[in-house]
Amino acid sequence: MSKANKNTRTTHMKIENTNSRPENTTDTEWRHTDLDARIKAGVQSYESDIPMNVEAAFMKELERIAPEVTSGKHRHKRRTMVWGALATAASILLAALLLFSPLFKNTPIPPLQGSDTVEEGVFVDSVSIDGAPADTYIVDSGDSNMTIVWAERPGNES
Amino acid sequence: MNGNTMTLNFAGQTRPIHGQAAAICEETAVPDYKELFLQLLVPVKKFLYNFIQKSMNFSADADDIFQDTLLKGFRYFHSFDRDRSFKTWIFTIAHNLMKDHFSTNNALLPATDIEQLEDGVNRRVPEDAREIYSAAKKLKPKHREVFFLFYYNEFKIPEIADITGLTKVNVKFILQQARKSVKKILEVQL
Repeated sequence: MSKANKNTRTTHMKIENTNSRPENTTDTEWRHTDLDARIKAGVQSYESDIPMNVEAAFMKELERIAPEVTSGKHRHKRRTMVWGALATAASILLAALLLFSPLFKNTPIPPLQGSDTVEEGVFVDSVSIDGAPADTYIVDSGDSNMTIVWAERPGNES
Repeated sequence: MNGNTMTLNFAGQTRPIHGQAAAICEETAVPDYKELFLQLLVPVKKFLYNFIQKSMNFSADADDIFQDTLLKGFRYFHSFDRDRSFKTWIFTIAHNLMKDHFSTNNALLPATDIEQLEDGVNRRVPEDAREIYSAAKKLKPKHREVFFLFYYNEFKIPEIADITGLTKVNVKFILQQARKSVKKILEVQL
């Protein structure tokens, strides 16, 4: 190895001979048998950290490519905004239902199709079973306010 | 890892996650694309940086190649096969970028001798390291990559073949040639 300038050596690095040679071994023998380990040790002896400017430049570029935030705080904020929007929409819908529902009260319903009798005060549009108009009967219990609507498949004999 | 498949959404596409990526998702409950990529990168990036530095003879272009590798890895992370090793995958990207760089720049890189590297603190370098890096500098770019993938990053022969696109026989041959070259230099120093 060529001898480096003494001043340069002391300025730039300290060189240590960290190789330990087994006793009773010639230098040549030791180098031949342990070559891979020495190469590995030599290669792995020098390692540097990633410079901060390199890492910062990468993160900056990454933010530019993928600007959507990914921290937990921002995910929570995004999720909160979605729930807030849904809650607002639901409130508006509920308010509309409450506001306009009185308009549907007392709307007359056409008489039941296919029935022989129509009870006073009860109007049912139609009753179908399996897509076919059903025979429908309305029974007023008399004692209570309950009205029973009975529907049968046409042609059924009870 | 359980039998259920987790999915993540990126750019409107739903993809299953399993393997190494799914293990991290399960541990940290972080299905976010960018965070997942950065988490997988943490144990790998210092070795990746040093590998690129050594393979490019500590050239100034090494930093650019390193950044390009990470950015390209992020851009194509959606195509990463979750069953594959992330480390092998990102090193493959680095290899391809260096290969393109060497083909356009004809391997005439402004190299830096290891003696000239300083970080303001006296750095202890074993005596052999200087000779080994001198020997490695004389190798062809592709051979130098294989050399450092084996001795620095400690990849196995099949992994090196996967990264570089060479056959296993070729990788072994290159390593043998590199050993001979280093041995010659080390013997000369006696």
